[in-house]
Amino acid sequence: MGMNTTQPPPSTRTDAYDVIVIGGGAVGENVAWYARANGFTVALIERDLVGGECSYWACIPSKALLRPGEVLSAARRVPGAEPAVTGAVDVAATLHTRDVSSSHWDDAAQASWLDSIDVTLIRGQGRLAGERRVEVETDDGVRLLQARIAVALATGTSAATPPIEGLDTIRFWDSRDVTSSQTIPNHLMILGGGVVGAEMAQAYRRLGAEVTVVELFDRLLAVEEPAAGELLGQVYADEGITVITGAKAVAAKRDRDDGPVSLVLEDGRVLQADELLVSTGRSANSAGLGLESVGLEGNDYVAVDDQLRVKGVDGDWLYAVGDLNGRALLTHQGKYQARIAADVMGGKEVRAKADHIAVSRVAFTDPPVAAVGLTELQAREAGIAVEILNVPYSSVSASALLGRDIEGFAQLVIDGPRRTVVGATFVGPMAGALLHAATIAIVSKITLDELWHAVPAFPTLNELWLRLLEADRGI
Amino acid sequence: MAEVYDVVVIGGGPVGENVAWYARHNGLSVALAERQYLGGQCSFFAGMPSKAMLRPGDALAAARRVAGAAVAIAGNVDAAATLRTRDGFLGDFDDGPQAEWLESLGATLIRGEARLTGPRAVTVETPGGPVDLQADKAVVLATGTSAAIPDIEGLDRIAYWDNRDATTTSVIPERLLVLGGGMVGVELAQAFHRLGAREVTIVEAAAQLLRDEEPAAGAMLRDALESEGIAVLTDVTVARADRDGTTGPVTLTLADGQVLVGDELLVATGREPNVMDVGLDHVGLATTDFVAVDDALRVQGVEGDWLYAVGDVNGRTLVTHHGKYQARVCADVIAGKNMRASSDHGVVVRVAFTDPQVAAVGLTEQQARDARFEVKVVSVPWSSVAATALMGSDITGLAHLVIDNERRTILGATFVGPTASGLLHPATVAMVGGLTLEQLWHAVPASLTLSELWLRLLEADRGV
Repeated sequence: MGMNTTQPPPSTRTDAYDVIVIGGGAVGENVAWYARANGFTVALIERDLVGGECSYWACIPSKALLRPGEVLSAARRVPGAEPAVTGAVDVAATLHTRDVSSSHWDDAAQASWLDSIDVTLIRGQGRLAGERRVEVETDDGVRLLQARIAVALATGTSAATPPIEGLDTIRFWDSRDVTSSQTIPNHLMILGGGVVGAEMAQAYRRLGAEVTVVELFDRLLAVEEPAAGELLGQVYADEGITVITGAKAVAAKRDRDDGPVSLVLEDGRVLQADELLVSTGRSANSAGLGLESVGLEGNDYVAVDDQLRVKGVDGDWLYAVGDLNGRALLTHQGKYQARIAADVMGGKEVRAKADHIAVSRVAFTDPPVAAVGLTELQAREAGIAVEILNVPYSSVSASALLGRDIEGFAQLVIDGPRRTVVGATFVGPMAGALLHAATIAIVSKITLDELWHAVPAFPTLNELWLRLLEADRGI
Repeated sequence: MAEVYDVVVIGGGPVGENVAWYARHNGLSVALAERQYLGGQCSFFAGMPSKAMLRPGDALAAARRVAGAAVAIAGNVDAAATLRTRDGFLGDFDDGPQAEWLESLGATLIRGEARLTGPRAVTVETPGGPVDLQADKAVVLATGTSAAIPDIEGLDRIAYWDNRDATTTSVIPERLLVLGGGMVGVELAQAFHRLGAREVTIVEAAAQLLRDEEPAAGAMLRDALESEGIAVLTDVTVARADRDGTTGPVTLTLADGQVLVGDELLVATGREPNVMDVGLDHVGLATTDFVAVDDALRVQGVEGDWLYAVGDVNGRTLVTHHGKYQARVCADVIAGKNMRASSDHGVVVRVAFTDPQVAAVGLTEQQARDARFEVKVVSVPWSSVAATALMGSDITGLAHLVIDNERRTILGATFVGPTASGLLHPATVAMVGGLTLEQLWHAVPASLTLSELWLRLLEADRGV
């Protein structure tokens, strides 16, 4: 702020709203939206950009970086289209599209949307200051807010930095840097082959970089079915992406900020690259949130019940939604919690039950990896009498129509005695489109025998559903 | 002396093949009679070849919509390569692999024209003479349909294409007239246009393309086709057809006097059942109409529960996948299982593989109103989800649900847009399960997939 302007005196007034939301990412915005739809007055506090991580530094820009490579490789697989594909991904155009998709990191459109639904946006750092009380540090000083009904915490997570010697002293990329970079390094090294690492490895490879992925577990996407990560690993090898699995990094070095970066592995190997992306996990943005003022620890995920109410706080007024509660670190699941939380505040009888049984997740790699519910291992550990159904993409005509060399599979994890779906994984072109039917099947507990009458259209990939049911019948 | 089988199947298209497959799986002995190609209409003349002709244009159009990919696309669809790919799917009209597959199942293939000669009795005219078959349990008719030729003056005297000709041609006509704007007509019109036909004109008698679908779907498809240069005439009646010789230009004269000229004419106005020569008269049935069946796929009006009709020939739903569904149900009924083709009534799935695709299941709004449901319609544009912008620029699309607002269940769904068919199966599952919108609220679609349209539809229902 200019020092010469006349500053208004710090407000001593306390503004009251029905609902106060701290954190204006996609999840906080949805709490605000649904709370408004339920008739509440709402204030939303954001310290950075309204729209949050997903809009500017994660889902949206990463998909914009991946899409050109995906459509070109799809066209190259089709003999009648392949001769027309004469070039490679246009880096400048792709980065420009990414900038547009990320609204050039300007949140004016989102702010005016909030305005249009009569949500009061307060820019600044919000923190709890006792029961139903919130303080906001704004550019104009501290404001005090009082919540009549509820305070919802939706501050999300940030990239976690693993305890690797030297890493805290050097410059490296996190998920924000890799999705917003204006340059493509010659050689990008990626520590962590989860969704972020796997997506960015392929995006940067197809944008022209040499890419090396260093992964602690024995495959990419280690939390998913082993076959998914294994198939992706093969594809990456074919594309010239180096994936080093079972590798533990013990030290990181960088002599100057713009110089090469080295990673030392436990087995003594030293890897060097021009840039390092660290994508090994997330940590909750719970510090500085004033959790101590309501008797909570302030350095971890904030535990909630199925109504998204924070455990250990009396009076049913404090909620935590989205990544911050650690239930499912996914935008769509956070938005689901936001809808549920706003309805709970509105006195409706709803619970976030999908968080337990039907969390869907998609890696927008090529081929995509789409999964929902339990993996086979998780189902067995949960004591379910598991049956596995697995069919290759090549079992349906739609796969051949997509082009040459299409690889993929569809897998269901079945609760044998109940004859219901408890998990599903699809890997292959357009796999994300196969997922929602599985999500519906899991949520509704519809049996395989009922699904027999859901006829998939010929020749679409949905016929994989028929092949899965035939596999169940032993045909 | 007649050869005896548990099940005799007449017609070896995908539907007949599926009857044979599932009947064998249920432990029944099976003979299958086919007069031409195993795999039938769908493998050789419809489903697969038309999709193979559409796919390259689809893939290039998808890439052109993406800024970072568009500059990498220099040319158009390679027609020769496309037709070679299609021929690959046709297997050069060699059904040997399918015959081997049938044999591997332990089904007996008998090549020839088959007809009913009495209860449970079938005679096949093979090259080596007539073969008499006796069915212990069931005879299954799966003879399908052929293109129906409309009653237009002059049409019976000229050469023209039906869907078989259009999907097997090695020539891309300069100017193609397409009579009929149903599924076959719209798919092939776009395929030929993208394969290089300079002028393609669709002539449709109804007020919209895809007349059985939602008006908004037909309108959206029309916009897309017209914007890429395909002419669409609706609400028109063709008065006469003429042709200069057998290969010269074709002329269609419309009732209003307008004259359309093309180098080839595709007639795609409908289908008629293949029932003329299958001996229905020997079991007391008419030989002109679709063969009416009950939900067990048993032919109505025939005593003894032995005669079944599956697929197009029964006229219930003229789509391959429902025919195959009927085949599965039928083979289970024959084996004594308690199974009925329940989905044929309210949950019929259809897809036009145009760009944009039109994918629908169940009832349209009008059909639901006619059936006196308490109808509520929710509709959202594709622009309402982030996945659309990420797919590329200038993508329009529609997601539309017809809701039984009394039961809070889905009666019908229509999706229009690139890859719209991917949105369909969730609707089918929800309808088969009788799931309420309130249950669907907990089925969370993954971020940045088009499935988030499902969330927008539920939000629209809530009035959010």
